[in-house]
Amino acid sequence: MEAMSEEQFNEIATRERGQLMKSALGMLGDEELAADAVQEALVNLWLFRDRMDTNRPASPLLSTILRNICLMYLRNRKRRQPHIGLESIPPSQLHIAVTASDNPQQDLEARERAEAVRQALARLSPPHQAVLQMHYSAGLSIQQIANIRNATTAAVKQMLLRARTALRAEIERRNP
Amino acid sequence: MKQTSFTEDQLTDALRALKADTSDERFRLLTSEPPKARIRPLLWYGVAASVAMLIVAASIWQSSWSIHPDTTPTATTATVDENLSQLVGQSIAAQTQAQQQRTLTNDIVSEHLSLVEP
Repeated sequence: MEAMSEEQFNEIATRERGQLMKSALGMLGDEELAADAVQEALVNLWLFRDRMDTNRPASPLLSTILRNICLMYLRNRKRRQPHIGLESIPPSQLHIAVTASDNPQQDLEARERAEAVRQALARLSPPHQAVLQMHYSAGLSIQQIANIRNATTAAVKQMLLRARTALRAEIERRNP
Repeated sequence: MKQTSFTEDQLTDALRALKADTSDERFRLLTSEPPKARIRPLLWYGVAASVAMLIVAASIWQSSWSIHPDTTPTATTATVDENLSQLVGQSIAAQTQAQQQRTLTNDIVSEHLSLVEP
């Protein structure tokens, strides 16, 4: 089974985004929430690209993922839990994966830095958390994020820069 | 350790070290068909089928009346039968009366002729 390429993903995201948005809006009745659900569905499609058959059409699977995400959002809304968008994978649930090197001391420091970043990330605004997680944790390119968010690459770059600045400021505030 | 001493590369590495949950469990959770979604289309199909049947029944009913445009939908079979037998009765009565009149006329003419003839 061949893994989905970036070009294939970009094509699917561009083609399916409008229909997914309509479906999400129908289920959630809130444009902002629907946009977050679509974004999360597409990010998950990318995250699980290795397990998907590229010979089969992506739209039925994408619709199922979106429906499940919308149901999660609705359940959270019933329980009056705050909406956290892509951060429905909250930073606390992100696991730290530091590649082991020959130097255990360096690995430990890297792990500590990752932990500090995870804590600071949780304090950022949802859009900043989302863009940083999409780019660094999920490994999406600037172009892919632009397709998912229906934005220009320049706007995504600008947002990433601001999010990094905010993250650095948060780390410095917590560790003066 | 002072986190404020992060270089840009270290910050990038730290961010990349934070991995999203890509476990099999989460994959199943996201890609399994939700139970509600399985039931809901069936409900909609049921409603759509009922509406379609109603439309077909209504169109058949309407077309059956349009074949007999002079017949009002309020007329029942019993009323039609009653009217028909009444008309037949009237027709027979009229025929009998006409026959009696003809016989009477013939009798008068015959009597008149017998008087005229020597």
